[in-house]
Amino acid sequence: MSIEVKNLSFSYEDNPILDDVSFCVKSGEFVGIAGPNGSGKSTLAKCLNGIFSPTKGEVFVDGISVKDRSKQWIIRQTVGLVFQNPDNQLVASVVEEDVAFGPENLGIPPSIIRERVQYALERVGLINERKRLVATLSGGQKQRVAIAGILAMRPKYIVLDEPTSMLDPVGRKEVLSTVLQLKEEGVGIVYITHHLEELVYADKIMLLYKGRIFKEGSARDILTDEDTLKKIGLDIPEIPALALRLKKFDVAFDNIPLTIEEMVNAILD
Amino acid sequence: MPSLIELRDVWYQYNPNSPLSYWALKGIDLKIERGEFISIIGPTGSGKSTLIQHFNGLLKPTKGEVIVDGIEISKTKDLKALRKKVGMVFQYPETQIFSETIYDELAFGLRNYGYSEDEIKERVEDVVKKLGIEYIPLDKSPFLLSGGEMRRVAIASVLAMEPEVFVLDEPLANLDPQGRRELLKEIDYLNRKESLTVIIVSHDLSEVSKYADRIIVLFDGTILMDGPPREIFKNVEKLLEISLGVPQIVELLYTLYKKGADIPYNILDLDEAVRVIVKWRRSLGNRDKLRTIPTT
Ligand SMILES: Nc1ncnc2c1ncn2[C@@H]1O[C@H](COP(=O)(O)OP(=O)(O)OP(=O)(O)O)[C@@H](O)[C@H]1O
Ligand SMILES: Nc1ncnc2c1ncn2[C@@H]1O[C@H](COP(=O)(O)OP(=O)(O)OP(=O)(O)O)[C@@H](O)[C@H]1O
Ligand SMILES: [Mg+2]
Ligand SMILES: [Mg+2]
Repeated sequence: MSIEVKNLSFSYEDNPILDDVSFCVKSGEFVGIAGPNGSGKSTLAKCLNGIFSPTKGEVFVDGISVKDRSKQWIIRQTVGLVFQNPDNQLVASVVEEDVAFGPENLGIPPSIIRERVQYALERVGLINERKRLVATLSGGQKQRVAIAGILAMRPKYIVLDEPTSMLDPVGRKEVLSTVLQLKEEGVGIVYITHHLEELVYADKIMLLYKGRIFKEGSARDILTDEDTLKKIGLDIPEIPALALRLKKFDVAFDNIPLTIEEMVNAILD
Repeated sequence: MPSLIELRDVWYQYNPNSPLSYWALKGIDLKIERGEFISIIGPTGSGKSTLIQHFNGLLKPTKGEVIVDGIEISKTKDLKALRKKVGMVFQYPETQIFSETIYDELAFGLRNYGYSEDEIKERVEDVVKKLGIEYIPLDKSPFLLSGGEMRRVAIASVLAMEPEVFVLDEPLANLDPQGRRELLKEIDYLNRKESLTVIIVSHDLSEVSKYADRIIVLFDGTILMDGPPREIFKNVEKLLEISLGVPQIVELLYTLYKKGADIPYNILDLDEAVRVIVKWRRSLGNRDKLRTIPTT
């Protein structure tokens, strides 16, 4: 079971945006995507759940082509997309109605919807705001509602387009731990971010540059490759950056650490 | 000389006299001086966006006084002059963008204040370069841009007005890492060379703390801390407790400190972290490191 992207190209009218992109997201796999502004990340995200249909190439969701317009329904419910801007996603006026909107559309019985809404709002820490009007929420609160809306649909794959851009640091950690838990439960994750330290637990990271995959590899390969990241306008996260600098002062590392914990262990060793 | 911006016991209530009423600011006392570079941080929903909208009169205090450059905003009729002085970039750029082309968007404010088309063209070209969007055709619709490109346009449109006070609500969100750095450098330059007063709301402490003279921590509608970054970073535990974090390198040094390392942790950048760690390791010499670091 997987999302399979094969030689995908996509153009807005005459403007080519994605060029011959191929990769695969399996159930239970966490794929991170990073790349500079305008490199095509959000466009790619919208190709994964069939909002956009490939200009060339194919995207298969569990074997079904997203080009098959008769299967749009099943594809949208299999691949949940958290939009970059929550305002493009939030539809209902009250928080809990908005979160219930997706599952309602799937024809799920009300008692189960209630459970799922409860679960999703608890996960994002908004259970006390359930009766609030979406329009009166703060920026970060809106982003949390958007995430809850997708969680409540329980899709097999979740694509998150900069889901933490408006969240406080603890909110970021909570979203990441939710994502990791979903991965454990077998959900396939595509996670787009400009904060590369959020990708330390990714099974694989793809760097997108001018619509092409510039480099692909394990989290450790990518997040310690300062030259490659610099070249395309990204930055190496602080912990590996620190380790690379410490190496010049004779601090030895078996592996360049990615997390604070790894760094502490390496230094105290 | 009076402060550039002064808030005296400011309270703000959304939807007064309704079941949805909510006190978002609760007694804010604050002075901001000309030429300061300030960063406002605080957990989700703590009142940051509400607070800054008082600086140009978009919101008026329910109680208390807001005085900007000698003018009390609740009393003035000339909000237009105030808004020219205090440029504001909103948290979501979509809420501020409405023109049909990028050029018109960038020119809108300038036209509104009667600048000549020549001067407008010059300024537009200048800010387009500063925000790194020269590769995008200016006749393109600003709605057909990527998230980061749209934010750059929103920032550029306010920068084009050459405000005296530049207020930005989460300007780094959606920007790529290089874009974040370049924007801060540009703003820092204007701050130092042209004494632009800068107020940035951001969750990106590791970036803004390199430039800010002063960090204001909001919590539940009140000011919890106010001081230079180094002072603020001394309160790691408290910051973590209220859903805020500190830069990863600060957290790292703090973790080492708690394990018994005799090091400062209120640092601002990588070079400093390297120096602290190298010095500490040398001071240990050949001694068993674990002896100086009691295991927890
Ligand atoms: N609807 C559209 N019509 C025409 N061009 C578009 C449209 N949407 C995006 N583009 C262009 O396509 C390119 C890729 O956009 P996309 O939104 O995929 O980038 P991104 O990698 O998500 O960037 P960001 O990091 O800024 O969110 C950009 O240069 C953008 O200007
Ligand atoms: N129009 C409104 N009506 C009622 N309450 C509101 C309204 N706008 C904001 N609030 C509430 O006021 C509080 C402060 O909101 P504000 O937008 O200032 O927060 P913030 O610190 O900017 O948060 P974020 O980091 O999420 O953007 C929040 O709890 C929010 O839900
Ligand atoms: Mg995008
Ligand atoms: Mg806000």
